[in-house]
Amino acid sequence: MADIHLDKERWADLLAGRVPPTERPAILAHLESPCEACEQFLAQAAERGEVDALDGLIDEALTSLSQKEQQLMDEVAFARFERAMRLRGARRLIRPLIAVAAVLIAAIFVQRTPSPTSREKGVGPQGEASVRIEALRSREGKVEPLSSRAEVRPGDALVFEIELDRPACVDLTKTHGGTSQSLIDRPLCLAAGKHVIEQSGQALGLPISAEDRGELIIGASIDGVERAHVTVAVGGP
Amino acid sequence: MIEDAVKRARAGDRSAWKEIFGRHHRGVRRVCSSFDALSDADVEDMVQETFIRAFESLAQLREDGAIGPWLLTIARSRCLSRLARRGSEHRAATAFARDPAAGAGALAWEGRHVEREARIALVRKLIADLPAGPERETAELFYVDGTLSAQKIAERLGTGKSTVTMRLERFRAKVKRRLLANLMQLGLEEA
Repeated sequence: MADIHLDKERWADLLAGRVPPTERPAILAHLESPCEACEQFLAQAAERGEVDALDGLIDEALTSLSQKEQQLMDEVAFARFERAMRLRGARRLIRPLIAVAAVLIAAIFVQRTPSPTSREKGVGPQGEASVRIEALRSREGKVEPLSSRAEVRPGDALVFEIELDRPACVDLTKTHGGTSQSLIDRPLCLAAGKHVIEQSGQALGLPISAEDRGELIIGASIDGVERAHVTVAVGGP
Repeated sequence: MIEDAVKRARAGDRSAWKEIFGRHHRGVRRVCSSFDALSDADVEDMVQETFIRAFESLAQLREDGAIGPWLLTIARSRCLSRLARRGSEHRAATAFARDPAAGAGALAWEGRHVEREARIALVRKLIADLPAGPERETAELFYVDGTLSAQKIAERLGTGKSTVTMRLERFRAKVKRRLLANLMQLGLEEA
């Protein structure tokens, strides 16, 4: 073999194990001794933007050399990471929901012909509002209605849709294992029609964790009285 | 057991995220800070991006015990991608760079592993074998001491940051050459 130095093609063949067995001893002998040309080729990998299967193994060995600070937890960095994860989750939910919300808003405007009633003028609800709540499952960026038999699992998130027959201020609560908690800071005052529940301008996504396994009840209440609820089965590994 | 933490993290257990973050954030930060063109703030961003990308892609990790090298592969790819977006000479051209999690399955060469301890011993020997001089001093300060940034090492050695990162790349290249030789040796011994 006249020229045995590493180049892109040979390196790819070596990583993939495509070098014929008869050529391996010669290449091995070459790799075992220092070679300026081969090391330069490998050192320039970063400049070429290349990352291969050996990089993680090498970096793990190199970064394990120091015993200093190994056990220290960077609480600030972790808090920053957690916050970013939450924001990212919310943004991921928002994108498909913007489209859904746009369709819903359009539907509301089309359905409601311009014949103003006292309620629409802001007088407020008369009698009890009829409330319907539906849970949508967000999994891997896809938001879809939750059928009665569908199960959610840790890692999913739930998004909620409320339908009212007249304007009302609705609170949302989560009940699990006999404990209830409000999901929103304050009741949301909504017009009649269908709404995807939002808070601070973003779709409210309820992340499902392992602690939620079992039966999860999401209730919609008006003036402290529950008017509708949806039960979600949380399973998973 | 890190495998247990990975399983729990995959199931959405946030305490497992913290365990994995705690064990690996330092290594991830070290890898990112070896790039000359990344500032301290960039490095912090890259640490964050690496863990977000990893936790979102945990389903693609084929061996739970290999999370360390997998995270570091993602970190390296994210850093190269950041540099590429800046229009520097770096180009994130490989499949790994486009999809860092794709590196998960490629952590063995023809099914042969060089265990972590053996790799650490190899790296220690390579440093010990380097002649006394700037390359050895740089590798010792960055990897063995492990507390100084590339910029601080440059100031201590009276040189530029890019010189320090270039020396580190050259040292990594030596390690890479020898590691592949070890893997090939294992293959020949088994054949």
